[in-house]
Amino acid sequence: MMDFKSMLSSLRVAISREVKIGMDLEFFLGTLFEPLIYVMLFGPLMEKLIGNVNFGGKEISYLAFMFPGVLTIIGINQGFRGAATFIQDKFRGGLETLFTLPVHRSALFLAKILGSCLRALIAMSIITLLATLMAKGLSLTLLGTLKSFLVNMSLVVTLASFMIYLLSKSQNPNLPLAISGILLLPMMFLSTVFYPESVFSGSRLLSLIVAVNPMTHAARLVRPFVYSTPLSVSTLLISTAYLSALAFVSLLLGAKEFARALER
Amino acid sequence: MTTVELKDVVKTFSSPKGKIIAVNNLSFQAKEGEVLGILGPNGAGKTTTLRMIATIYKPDRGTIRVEGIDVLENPLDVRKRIAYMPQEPDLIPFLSVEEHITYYLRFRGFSKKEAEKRCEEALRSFNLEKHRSKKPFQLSTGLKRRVQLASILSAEVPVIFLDEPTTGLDPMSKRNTWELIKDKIEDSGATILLTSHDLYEVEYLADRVIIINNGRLIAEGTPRDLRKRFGKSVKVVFEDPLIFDALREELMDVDGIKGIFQVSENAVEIKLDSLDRSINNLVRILASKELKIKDILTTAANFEDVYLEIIGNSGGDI
Repeated sequence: MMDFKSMLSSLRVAISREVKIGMDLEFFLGTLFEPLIYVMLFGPLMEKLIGNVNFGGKEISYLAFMFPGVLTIIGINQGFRGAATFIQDKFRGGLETLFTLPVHRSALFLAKILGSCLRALIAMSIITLLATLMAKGLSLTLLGTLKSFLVNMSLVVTLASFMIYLLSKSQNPNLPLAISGILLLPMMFLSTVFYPESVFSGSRLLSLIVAVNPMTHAARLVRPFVYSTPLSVSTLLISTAYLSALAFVSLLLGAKEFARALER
Repeated sequence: MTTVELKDVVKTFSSPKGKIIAVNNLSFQAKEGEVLGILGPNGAGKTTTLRMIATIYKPDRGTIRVEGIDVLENPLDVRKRIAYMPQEPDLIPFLSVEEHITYYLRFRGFSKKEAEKRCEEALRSFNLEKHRSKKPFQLSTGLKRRVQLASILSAEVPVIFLDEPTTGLDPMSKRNTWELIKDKIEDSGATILLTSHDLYEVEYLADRVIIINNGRLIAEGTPRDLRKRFGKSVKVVFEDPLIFDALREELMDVDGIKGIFQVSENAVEIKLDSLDRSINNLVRILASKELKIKDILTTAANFEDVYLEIIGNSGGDI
């Protein structure tokens, strides 16, 4: 009981430290600026070209169609950036001292993941507020918004944990940047973030890639939440199970390797 | 009372060239309140040893206990009793001096209020008040070290590890850091394990010294003991020029003589096993050879000579 209490207390301090060192210029530019370009520039321009989109029998503006995708992009971005404070600690110093403090290493790891989620939450809240004002066709409820945030948090957990897992094993601090450089664009465009699922139906290979892309599953779940359209039970179960499984496995791998991050 | 105890500890690391034995059957103890200096050349295993005691690395074999607690069985309890200052000043760029000390204390379980109170005392005590809001990039290496020492000391733990605490400091900052360690940390009564390349630093700060090479313990004692045990040599000045090779041949097989070196045309330096016993032997032999001795001077070995001799004897590269 005492141990659990001290772990919670350590977690609180560790999260506070994460927020302090994680809300830097890179966060504001990297996490907020890019989605703002989508919502304020790319979305309205595409809307002029494409017009409205039919989703589940409901006519919605292109900006409204794109909005869940922007939330998902924030999730992915923040996931890749989730290891930023770990890079600070491991490669610029701090981790050696942290590892000799009377704190569970799992609490330190969890604080890094929760810190990433918190940063994603702030970014998603700002974009949601903006989209509510600009996009026609959104039917946001508090519960729907929270559910959509939760779905995207699973992406943050998966990617941040996976990045920490890789960085714990690696001696190269630029690894997340290299991986996100390779994966980010294909992940965005080979998903249903920008286009309806029907666009990919002509190619079996593309359909398969789109089907395993976690961004597709996130977008499948989030769209009905933000348009208040029905969500089939099978989609709910499959996509939730898929995203949860990815998050769970990454979390386990990340926590295990994080504890050994200073072992050569 | 023994505070830190290592018994037959082994640690290996994998590398592309195969396994590297960093620590090889190492055993030693540190007593309560003692400052134990750990000396050794680069790659000797000093930092690896400290990191194992500080629970950063797990030993492959052997046991390590801190205040009787096994580091493998209960690392969290060990961490409650230790404070570790790494080789590099590892301050996070986005945190101020004040925040560094406060977070350090809060992680150690102090409430926010208590941590802030202790931080104020530490800032005062370590003369850091005017630097409290500065970020690490605005601090010199010496000041960064002072922030680390202030954090460690304000936590009041019984065992402190200082891994090369003055690396990268200019002579003045080095001297200031030594004084800080001497005044503030030694007074706290904590057991201190200090690794260093700086022999003067270890001689100045440590009560006892262990010397490690290739992961093994090769010598142990107080700096004074080691100076007495190693580095005994005499300079013999003769009245006439001597034939060095002939003299060396005569003396090399004599019991108690470890080496002989010519220092001038009529003087040699002779390294002995024991100053008391061997010097009598030496005088007797030289007299029997009818060599006229002008003077015999015992040379006071400094700690650096002792260290070089010990490492040299162990077959290590320095």
